[in-house]
Amino acid sequence: MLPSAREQPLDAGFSLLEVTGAIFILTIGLLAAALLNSRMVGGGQRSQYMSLASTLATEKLEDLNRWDIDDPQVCVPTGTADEGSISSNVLQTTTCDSGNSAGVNYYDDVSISLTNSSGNCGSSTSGCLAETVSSVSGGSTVYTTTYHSPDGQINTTAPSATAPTSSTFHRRWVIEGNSPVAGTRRVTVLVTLLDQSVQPPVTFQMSLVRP
Amino acid sequence: MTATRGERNRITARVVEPGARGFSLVELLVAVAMFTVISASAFVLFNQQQKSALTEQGQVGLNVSLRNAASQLQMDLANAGSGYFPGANIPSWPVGVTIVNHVVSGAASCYNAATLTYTANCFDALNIIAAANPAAYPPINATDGTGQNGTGNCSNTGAGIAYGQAAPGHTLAQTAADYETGDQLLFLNNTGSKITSVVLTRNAVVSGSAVQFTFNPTNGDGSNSLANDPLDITACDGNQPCPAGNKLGVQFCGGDWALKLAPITYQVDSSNPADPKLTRTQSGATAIVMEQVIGFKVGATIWNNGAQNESTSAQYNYAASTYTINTPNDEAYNFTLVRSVRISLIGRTNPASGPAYTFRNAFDGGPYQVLGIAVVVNPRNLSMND
Repeated sequence: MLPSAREQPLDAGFSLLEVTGAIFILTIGLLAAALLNSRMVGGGQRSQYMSLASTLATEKLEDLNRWDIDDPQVCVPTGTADEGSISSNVLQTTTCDSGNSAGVNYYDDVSISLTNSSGNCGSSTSGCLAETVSSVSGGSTVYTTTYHSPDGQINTTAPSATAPTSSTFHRRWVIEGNSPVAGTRRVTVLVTLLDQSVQPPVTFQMSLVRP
Repeated sequence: MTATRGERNRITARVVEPGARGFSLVELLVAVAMFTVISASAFVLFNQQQKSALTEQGQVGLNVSLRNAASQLQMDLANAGSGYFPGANIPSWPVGVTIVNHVVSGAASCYNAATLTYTANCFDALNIIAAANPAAYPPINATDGTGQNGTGNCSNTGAGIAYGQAAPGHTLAQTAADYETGDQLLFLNNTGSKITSVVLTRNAVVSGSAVQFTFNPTNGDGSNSLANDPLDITACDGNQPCPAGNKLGVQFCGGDWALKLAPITYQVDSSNPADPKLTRTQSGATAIVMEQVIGFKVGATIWNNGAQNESTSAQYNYAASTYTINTPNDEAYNFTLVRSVRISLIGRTNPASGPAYTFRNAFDGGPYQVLGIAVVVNPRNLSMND
């Protein structure tokens, strides 16, 4: 049995157990600091994804706002509550009351990344910023990438069927007719980051009411 | 004889029990070694954490400044082309934005890879055109020099002079006082289908029963040099002769309108190529929106004569020289066709110096982080009756 502190001589040094305990506590402290740091980095990255997601939601709403009220992209035919969906990918032919008809996709994919793709960047000695957006062409989904190079060149690739790989955001939207009041329509966009390693998942939803 | 202090101490030391004799050299060495190892690893850990904290701070700061710049652009752009309607006859395509695109080819790089500096040709410029507050500056009806406003009563903008009536509810003197040197005006014909634009070279004055505007003479077709029309509403980016298209000519007659404009200009000030700044200029006041901007490109979707489909009109066009529709009187740089604007903004953190900073980005290989953002803005007043 160990002597109590009072019984122990004043200059007896530390026992092995004490030193082990001290190192153990120090280790926990250092590990906590390291964990705090990695959480901070992860949180910073997630907030960056969130901010990008909200930008992309606004972008899609603005983009949809561009279309005329009788365009198949945004019209809701009489007798239909809504077009598109935020719970599934909808690709359909929409025919407006005015008779305008077109194949419309109510979802797309967007990816923004830095790349060294030498064949696509404007300069062979530097990289570029790539923005890939999907659209529908002839009933199937194609991806168009715009490359911004440091020297100011902009290249746009021909539409390709290959999906981007890095940090892709999936956007779905729904257009509700006569909502919230008759004569207006509400457009809602849901943006989801497909990278599941970012936890909790990054999602962002936003609505806009337009004529 | 009493013992000296030293002898007393020695005696005392000898008396103490063996457990209290202090550390041996070996113990001390081991302790110092352990302390060194532990503190060294702690230092390494903190060093790494400090680096990643600084990186994170830079990244977050960059993200925030990009967001702020994008929000400011969105707010201003959404209102492009506003304020035209009260009194004046504007067609379904008001001028809401004009864009100065610097189209770069591979041979003429605008950035220096060795010094990582960016010059003016890397960047576009964006002018957001809106009429000045229509309550304070109502549209003015054109007259001739005597104040007559019949359709045959004209002034000649090719001579650098135009005349107008007093604004509704204002006297001639009050109206003249509202128009000063440097103000840009938009002249429209009575159907709103033809325009020209002038910048006043002196304050407006009352001349007889009309308000007299003085400016540099327009070209014979109503177009202007870029110097006389810095917003490029009618200057075709300085490419002369500018195709006629929607230009007013030089006859500014009764039934035509003059509108005061309140433009906002976004451009990149690269006077310090090591720190290009995105600036916003309104009414002569310039504010810095964001520093360390290394990419600012403005593209537009244009009205394509009703034949809209996703694959053609979703394309954003980064060369204003191709803003054209295939109809008679077609012209390049026809900014009345712009429907939606896409802005690509690329920023960087402050370049780090010193050999300790080993990170190099994948964009231009510089010792800083790079972040890009693209925003689409649909100006609310530019989408009518397409």
